Amino acid sequence: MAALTKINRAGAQTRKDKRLGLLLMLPVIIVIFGVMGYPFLNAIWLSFTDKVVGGEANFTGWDNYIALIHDDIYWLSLKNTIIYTVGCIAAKLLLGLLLAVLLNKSIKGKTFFRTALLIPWAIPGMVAATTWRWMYDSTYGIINSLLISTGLTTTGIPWLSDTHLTLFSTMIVNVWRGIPFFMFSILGALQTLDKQQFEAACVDGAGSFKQFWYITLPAISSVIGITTLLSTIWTFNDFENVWLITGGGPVYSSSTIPTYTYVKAFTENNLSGAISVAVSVIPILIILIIIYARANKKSS
Amino acid sequence: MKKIGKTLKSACVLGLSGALLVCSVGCSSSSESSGGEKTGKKQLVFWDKSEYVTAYNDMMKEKVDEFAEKYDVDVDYVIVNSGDLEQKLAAAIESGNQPDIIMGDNTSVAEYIASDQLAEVSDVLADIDLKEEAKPYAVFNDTEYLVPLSLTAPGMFARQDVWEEHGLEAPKTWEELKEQAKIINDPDNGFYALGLPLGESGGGDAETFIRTIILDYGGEVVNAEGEVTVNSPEVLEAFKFIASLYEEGLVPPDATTWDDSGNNSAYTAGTVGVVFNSGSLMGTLKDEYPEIWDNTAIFDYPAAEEGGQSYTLGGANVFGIFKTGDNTETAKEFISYFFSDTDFYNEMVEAIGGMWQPVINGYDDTEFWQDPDNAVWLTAASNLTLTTAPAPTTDTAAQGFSNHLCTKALQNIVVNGMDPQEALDGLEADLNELYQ
Repeated sequence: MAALTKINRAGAQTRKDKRLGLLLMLPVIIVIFGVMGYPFLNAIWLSFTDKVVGGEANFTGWDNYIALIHDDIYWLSLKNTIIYTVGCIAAKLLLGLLLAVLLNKSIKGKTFFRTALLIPWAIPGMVAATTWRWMYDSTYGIINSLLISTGLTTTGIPWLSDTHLTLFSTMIVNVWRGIPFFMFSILGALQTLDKQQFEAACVDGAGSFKQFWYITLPAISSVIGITTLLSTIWTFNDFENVWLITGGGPVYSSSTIPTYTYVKAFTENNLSGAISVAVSVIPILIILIIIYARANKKSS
Repeated sequence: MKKIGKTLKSACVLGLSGALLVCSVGCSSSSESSGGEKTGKKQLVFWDKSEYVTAYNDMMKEKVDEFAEKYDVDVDYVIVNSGDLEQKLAAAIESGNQPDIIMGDNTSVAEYIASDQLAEVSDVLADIDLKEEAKPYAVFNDTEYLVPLSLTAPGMFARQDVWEEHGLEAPKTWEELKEQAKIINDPDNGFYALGLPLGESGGGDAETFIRTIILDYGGEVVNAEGEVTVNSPEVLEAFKFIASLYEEGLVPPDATTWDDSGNNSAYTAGTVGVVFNSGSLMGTLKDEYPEIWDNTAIFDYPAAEEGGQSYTLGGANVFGIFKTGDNTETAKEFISYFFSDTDFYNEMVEAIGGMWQPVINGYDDTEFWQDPDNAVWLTAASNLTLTTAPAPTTDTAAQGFSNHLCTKALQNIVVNGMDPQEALDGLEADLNELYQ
């Protein structure tokens, strides 16, 4: 009987502690809801209205989403966003991994290379995009000038005017800027690896590739996973780079979801339409965030 | 002991919740104290466009301070980059913190008429001696909503040295310009004859140029009765002509993604022979590229045929007053005060160096405007036509211009190889949707 009373008391105490914990968290929950939750829910509501800047929001049901289904530019922008994200992430991961492995070796001038390779990440995005735009210019851009002077091409490549090239041109800049993030994240992970494992593997006759494949890669996989997921979310939402280099053009050939959202909101003054474009990709981002949260939990 | 622990826990919770409450109350009370209610002093929030020539913002600040002191008003004068104005205004309007006055280009400011944000300004305009050519820029939906501050007529900048080198005269027709362009075009050496932007992300240079050619060729995008009349043989001919300039390689290929700075950059880099631009380019050339300015001539706009009507489409800088703001009357008082000192106004316009043309009568014969370099802008301004002409100046017309629908149609022809008639059909459908 006494034992039962003890258990009941312990249970009551646990419930009290939980209640206290919740109560202590309440201020933070209120702040987070006010800063993020309310605007998010409001945005979803507005996507079901005919809201324009400064105007009343009248409920229009699924009209905005139905319009999106029939909007060719929306589908083109979504396709471009997926190509942009997958292409950039693959390139950044491969090149970042390669450079991290190289910089982890005892090479001459390692500090210099590490510093130099950080520069693209440190440069403000606007400066980088504007500079690349100048470099891509078909008339006075340095890239075409170098290609022609070295005999690689006879005429300039239309980096910014050929609809088959414009998205690729913006991807190059994103990859250039994003490699340092991958490189330094992976390099950090590489430096925590125990050298004895490699020595033991060497004694057992494992070559460089096998050491990399069976020891290095599994050991750094969680860091690669989190870095890739974070960068995927950032790349998916990248507006500045595309907008400043091509403006999403010509004829929407490099339009992505963020640039199309901007065009709808500020060029067409269609706020609810713009929000519906942004809201339509939230499921994709939620999936990525869930994967990230799980990977983070696993790694910790 | 248990009681003490319980009391401490409760105190902790109350303390944290209290801190949050204090914080929120603190936030609201501080904003109240910054408002005018407590002190009884009038308030004015003025968002001004950041101008290429800094003299403008300096002088406007001087006038604002003078007004603030004389009328005992707290004025918050904010200079906003023109590229950011729309986004910042959208956020301000949605949060209910819109300024009382904004200054920007007429099509951008007019966008807020549709959402019933701007106040009628007939009472302010009644005291301003506006020039005839400036009056249309005040009216929208048959009501005066905007106060013109300056006209911004464009000019045809041409490399005189190149024209002289080939023994060419200023072209009188668009076809003649094209023939001359073929002569001076030298892409192998990085020089293109024409710097005509065709990107949809710009502020409207491309759309203005296309609509100029349409009018010159006798076409109309929307007629004076507000009917969509773009699908006509005249507009088709204009489209074919403009497209041919790109298709025949007379324009740099990247121009299809240029915004409004693209043509400026190309001209200052010496890689194009002709651009159509406002006087802002003249200021840049004079200050930073004097060798190019010395070799530049401002040609008259050509016409579709010799002796035919030649239009110069352009805009204006205007004030808009938010009726949804708290200080509409103070805003009107400021604008009236600003225009009451006409000598100061003229001094300001002249300080900007020709890229702005005056909207009030009485200053055309000053030494500054008699200078041939500047007189050309005054002449252009006197023939200035609204970019949406001949359509009635409505918010729909402004939206049609801001959406760059003509530019997108032309892009489809030039970039995607679309048949001009098909592009025109698409443009007509887009305009009909907008006007419905």
